[in-house]
Amino acid sequence: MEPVFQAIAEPTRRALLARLRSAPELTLGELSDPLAMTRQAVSKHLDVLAGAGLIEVQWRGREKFHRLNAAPLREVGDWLAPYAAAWDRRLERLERHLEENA
Amino acid sequence: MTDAIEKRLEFDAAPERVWKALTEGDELVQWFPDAGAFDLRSGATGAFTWADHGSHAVRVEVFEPPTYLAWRWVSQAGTDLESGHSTLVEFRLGARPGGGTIVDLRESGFVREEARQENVSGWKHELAELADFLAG
Repeated sequence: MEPVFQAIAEPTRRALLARLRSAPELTLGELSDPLAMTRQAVSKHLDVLAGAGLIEVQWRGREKFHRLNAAPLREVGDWLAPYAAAWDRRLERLERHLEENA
Repeated sequence: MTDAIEKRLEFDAAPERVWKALTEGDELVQWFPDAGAFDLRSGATGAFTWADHGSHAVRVEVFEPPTYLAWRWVSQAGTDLESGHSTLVEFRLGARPGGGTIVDLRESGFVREEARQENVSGWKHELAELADFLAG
């Protein structure tokens, strides 16, 4: 859980995930070319994403291909569920309050 | 799915009435914290307190009656807004056709934000993108 949060807390990594959403797979070059940073820096971000299980990496020949794996993001939704339930309860009370004190 | 909670609610009460319930201390304690509620005004700070989970510091970030209210509060009781982790709670109010109010609630910022200090507006923009991405 924590690695996923750490991974998506950083803007560059969110941008990389967004890029990988719109393409089945991308090489390091394709991922880093539009960004104003070195391939090395991008590579580090990709390592963090891979460490969190958010991307899968595959070597083919001399190229490294990156592919999105969105499954861990679902855990973020599960983690938020109790907070969402708390708002349901509060808003229900607000509704009752407004009905009783129109 | 995103790192934010979003809810849409409809009330029969007019936006001005709902606004009052969202911003006035003696109204807030009727439905939200058990105690400690203060009048939410531009830049106001205070805390919401619950008997069973402590006191949470709050700061009003945007106050635009009766359409938009945003406040930030700490995630953990007893921490402060400067050093503790916090989330942003936003209420957008609109008149419902034929009477009543539509309220869009959003609480965001649950992920650890090492990037927050770097670029708040960029962060907001990217979170919106992330929301689209996760919904897609």
